[in-house]
Amino acid sequence: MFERTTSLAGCLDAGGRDGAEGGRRLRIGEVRGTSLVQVGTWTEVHAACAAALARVCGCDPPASPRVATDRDAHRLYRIAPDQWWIATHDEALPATLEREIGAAGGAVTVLSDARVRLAIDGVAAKALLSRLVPLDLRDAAFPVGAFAQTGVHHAPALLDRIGAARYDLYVLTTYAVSTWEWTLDQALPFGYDVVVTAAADRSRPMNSTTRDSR
Amino acid sequence: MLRIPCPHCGERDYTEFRYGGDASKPRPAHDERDVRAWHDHVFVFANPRGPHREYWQHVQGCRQWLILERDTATNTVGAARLARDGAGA
Amino acid sequence: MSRGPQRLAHGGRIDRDRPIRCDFEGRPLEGFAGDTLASAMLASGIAIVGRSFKYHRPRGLFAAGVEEPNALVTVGEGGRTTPNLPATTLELRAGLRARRQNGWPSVTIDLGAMNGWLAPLLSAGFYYKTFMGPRRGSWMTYEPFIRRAAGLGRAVHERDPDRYHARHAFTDVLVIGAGPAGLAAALAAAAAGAEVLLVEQDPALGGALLAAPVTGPLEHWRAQLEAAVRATPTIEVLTRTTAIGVYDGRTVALLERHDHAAPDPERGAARETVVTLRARAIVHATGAFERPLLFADNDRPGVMLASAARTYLNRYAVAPGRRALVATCTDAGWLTALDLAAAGTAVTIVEQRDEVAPPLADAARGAGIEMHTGATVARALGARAVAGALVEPLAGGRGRRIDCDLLCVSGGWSPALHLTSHTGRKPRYHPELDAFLPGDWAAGDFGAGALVGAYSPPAAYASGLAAGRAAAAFSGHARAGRTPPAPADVDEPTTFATALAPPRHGRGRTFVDLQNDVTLKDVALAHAEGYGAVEHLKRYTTLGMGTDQGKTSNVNAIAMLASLDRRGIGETGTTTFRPPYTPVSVGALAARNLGRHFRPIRRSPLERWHLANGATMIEAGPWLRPWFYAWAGADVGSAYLEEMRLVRGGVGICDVSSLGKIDVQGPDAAEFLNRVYVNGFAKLAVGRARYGVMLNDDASVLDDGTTARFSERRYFMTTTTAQAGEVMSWLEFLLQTAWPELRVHVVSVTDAWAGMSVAGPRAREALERALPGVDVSNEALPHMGVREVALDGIPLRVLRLSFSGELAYELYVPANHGIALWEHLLDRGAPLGIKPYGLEALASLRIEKGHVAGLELDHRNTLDDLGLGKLAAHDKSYVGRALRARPALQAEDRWSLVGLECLDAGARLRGGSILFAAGDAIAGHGRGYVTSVTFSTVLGRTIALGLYQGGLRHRGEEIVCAFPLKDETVRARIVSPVFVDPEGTRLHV
Repeated sequence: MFERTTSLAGCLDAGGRDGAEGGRRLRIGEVRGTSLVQVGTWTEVHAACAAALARVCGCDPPASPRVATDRDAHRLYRIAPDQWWIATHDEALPATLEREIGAAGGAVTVLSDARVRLAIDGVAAKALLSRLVPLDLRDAAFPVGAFAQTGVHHAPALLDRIGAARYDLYVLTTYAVSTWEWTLDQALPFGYDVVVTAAADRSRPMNSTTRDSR
Repeated sequence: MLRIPCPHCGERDYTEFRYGGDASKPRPAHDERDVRAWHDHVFVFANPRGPHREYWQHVQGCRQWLILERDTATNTVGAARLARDGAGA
Repeated sequence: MSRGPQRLAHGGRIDRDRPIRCDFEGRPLEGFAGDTLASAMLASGIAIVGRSFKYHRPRGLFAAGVEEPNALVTVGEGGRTTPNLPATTLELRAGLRARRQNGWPSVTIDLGAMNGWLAPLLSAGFYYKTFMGPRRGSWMTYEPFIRRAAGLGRAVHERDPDRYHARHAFTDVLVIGAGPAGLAAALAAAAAGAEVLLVEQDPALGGALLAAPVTGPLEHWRAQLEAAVRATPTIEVLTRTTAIGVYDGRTVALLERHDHAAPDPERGAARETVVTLRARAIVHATGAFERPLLFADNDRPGVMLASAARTYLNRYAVAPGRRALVATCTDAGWLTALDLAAAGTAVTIVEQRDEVAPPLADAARGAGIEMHTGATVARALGARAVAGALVEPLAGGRGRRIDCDLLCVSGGWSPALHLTSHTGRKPRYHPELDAFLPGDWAAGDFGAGALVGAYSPPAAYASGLAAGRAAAAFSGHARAGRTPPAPADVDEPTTFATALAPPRHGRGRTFVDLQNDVTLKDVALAHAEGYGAVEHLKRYTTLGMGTDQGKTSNVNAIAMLASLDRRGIGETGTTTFRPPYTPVSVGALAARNLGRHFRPIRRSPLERWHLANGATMIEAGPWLRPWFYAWAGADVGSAYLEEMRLVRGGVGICDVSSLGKIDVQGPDAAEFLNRVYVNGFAKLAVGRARYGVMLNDDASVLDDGTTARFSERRYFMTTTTAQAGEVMSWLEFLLQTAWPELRVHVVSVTDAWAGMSVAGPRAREALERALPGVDVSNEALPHMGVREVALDGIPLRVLRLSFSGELAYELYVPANHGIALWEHLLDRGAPLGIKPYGLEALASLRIEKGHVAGLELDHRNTLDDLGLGKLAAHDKSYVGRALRARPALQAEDRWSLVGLECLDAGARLRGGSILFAAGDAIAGHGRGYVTSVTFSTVLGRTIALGLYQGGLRHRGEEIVCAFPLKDETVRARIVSPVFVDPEGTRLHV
């Protein structure tokens, strides 16, 4: 009965544009259907929560603050010394986590509607991102599998490099339209196509687990 | 621009952070009622020209509060540690 | 004999196969690819390039690069018009439209030259001395004329249609400057394994090497170095890119120029890009500027730097004159003389030194150059163009006239050390070089080439290799790699006189700063008047304050000042250098942060519905919120009253999604809230909410809000819209620095939930219709009760809270379901007449109830000031408790919250009005001010909240509200701030 919409509804209809030198070197748009959960722990329950996470998600939660781990539908990020994010296209996961992490003594907050997930792909992805975030995006500093929390146009965001020329950018829902319009303006010189993707299609292929490394 | 070495996220522009003031004075206990102790903590600062220990929060990052060593005369940045790992002097 | 510049048939780096025609003052100007506008002007015989700032003296080209003080032109049309660009830095291209400045009716015939006769009135600091009478205030009669005459070019008011971009970049080693030292540093750093970014402001690589003859060994060597750089994949080269500023953290601002590519903004191409580059190490290889010699009338057209003459000759194939006099104290001057002679110019050298090295003297003799040693120029002769010079022996004796149409001057080298001192490192004077060099180096900063006194090409190259290696090692790369060998047979003589002979005084003006028309006499005058410190001299005379920032004048001025003081030059010191190194357009600094993108906008998840249903939006901090709706009226003045009536008499619904919302969880959450709020929260029951106020450590009120308890360990805190970020950081600060032992997590969920308030006497009915499965009776959900339910599997939080004072409920649902719930409530509530109401009505309703909000919560007021003192607990500690007890915060005459009833019907009472007692004179700060105003539909009159000295002790008194900006006064009575339903009966139905 209650329809689920997105903040970007209506913003993605205008289609793409060729760039300054003709052609389109970007595919940008929204990824829909992502559930997002934040888990917080305290010293005495940290190990139990980590074990619960590993059990529920099928992979160890990362120890590194720079690299994500993933398994099937789920992707885990260590966003603070005592906090993780879990992004997934499995809609049942948040409830499972609330139960299991709660039992282990941790805190669970569902943020699925608090973020909009943007996709930034293409040969000009790095060039576009150099206009959006103040990060060192060179391969040595930001390899495939790396993520970083930073800001885009004055609003907090999380950048996730899921492929050589594929990035996810999580932005605050209330800033989503503003951030999207800013991104389009920065993308204009490169030319872009606008795409809407389902989270299930966005995931990495099955059985490809990223080894956690600092 | 100041580059701040966040212990969790790595070196970042200071624009991702929020300044939080002098970190070299221990905060009085929560149930401390002495007005002088709180007055000195809230209003009195050494303001040194030179090495300074200060709070910064990585608001556009991990949201952790850190204690940063910075030279106020040269803006040379030293080490940073998470405030939660041992606050105060 | 004919005079003036001429284009040579051969030589230069111009491409004679690509002629270019541009527009110069409405007429075609011709040149070639590789020309600058200046070289094309010179070749076309345009001798007067502008009129000077104050005296409107005719001026010619003086330099060939960014240090040019005279040839400032206006380029472009309409919104693209840009004044004050040095013609020496503009690449000649087909679409270029340029014109000279500061002459009327033209630069060639300029009435402004009359200013020359007014010179005695226009000396340094004249606006403090002349034009001061006859009466006090007379200055303002002269000021408009002087202001209109000031400046060189004119800016326009039209919008600039071009795009300017900004991007971020990171590298291991940044090399600034691609002369021999910079090229060497880049190659050495790359060979050691570092990633290198090499930036060069010129379109071509080579720096000073570009002034050498194209057929000589130096050019051959330069081409080899360039090829090596371009063949190295780890060296990124950016030409037409100026490093304009160095900042903390080895951050460098680079300005990339793209005009040569004729960028089309409609297709997204930019004219300029500002790059914020962070480097692990920086090599400064920025070279040095030549200084002029000073003598009377040294500003005549045809007087130019010797190195510039050499550049025009060898790079642009333009001989700047037919008969040259080279006045010099350096070997560099001799190189110019030799090259001019080789091109067929008749050359005379006037050398201050008694002797020069035999190879130079021999070569000059062999080239037929007339030589005078131990002599200098005392005065340039000629008016609209140089015609000759008066040359005098340094030892004394009569001078003689030497004819010329080109007077080249070479007085030494000033390293371009601006960037090295941007972060505060003061330059140091080296008497053996007669130059200021960079002072001590910060860690990670390195210098090479002419910048550090290594002037000759082999010396520059060697110092570049060393600096590049050191920079790479500093950035963590120390591989043993190979670099091209040092050049052979490419040395150039570089000795010079270290003690400049002082300028000869006599008739005529000796200019130190050409761009701002500052003479040696001005410097002496400033010194005599007490402005002898170098920073004072600069501001009093404006020396060094033009667009060239004194690049060719600073050191000469410092030397003059030092001699007046009888001090050393080093002791006199330089002024402080600040970014930008060369002028940068404001557009580039603004980049795309314009118009819609000026700042980010925060939007409610319901915004789409508001826009489609007649809402007029308003900015509230970063948010856009519905201000009022069309159903209620055509403008805010009428609409908000209708909306207020709806809420007081029926039921309305308001979007409150912008409120800060924080998820507070953990075993110690209750204790945490109890410490942070002034009132008790430890015993708040599950299923209940409580209004709370939190203080700063200094006892000023930080914020108010409501916190609800949904489970034993889970709380839902709301804050005001404006303070959401502040409160979040504050809670995190306390948890991480003050009470790390408390097991609490706080997470911002402002974005996660859409929030809507259903308010009015019929609110319960509206909820019953929309949420049939939920028991919202007064018993099941009393005032301040909360409930969490699932609606079709979607979590829904119902909080019975009221901001308006009516029966009301706040509903929270995940943001992406917000519109669905909102429409559902409107649909089911339609028979009750439910409609949306906006921010204006929301704010006005709370004023009627005396609820404090942002306008009262300004971080200066205490609990007692706001009438909330009774809220504070006595039996526990809370943040701010200790300092609340300060005597000043308890004083009886503090300004505290009152209600105000306007007594003058129909009068306009404005927020911010200053309050006075009935008998007070309307002057000074008064006894308080009005914080919030509205028309009360319940009382039928204008009411307000305010702060008044002594507060409600003056209840019932009539006072005056004054708004001096509009000369208005309004009478009002002090009443209780709770205007409507003071017993609160409506809340508990």
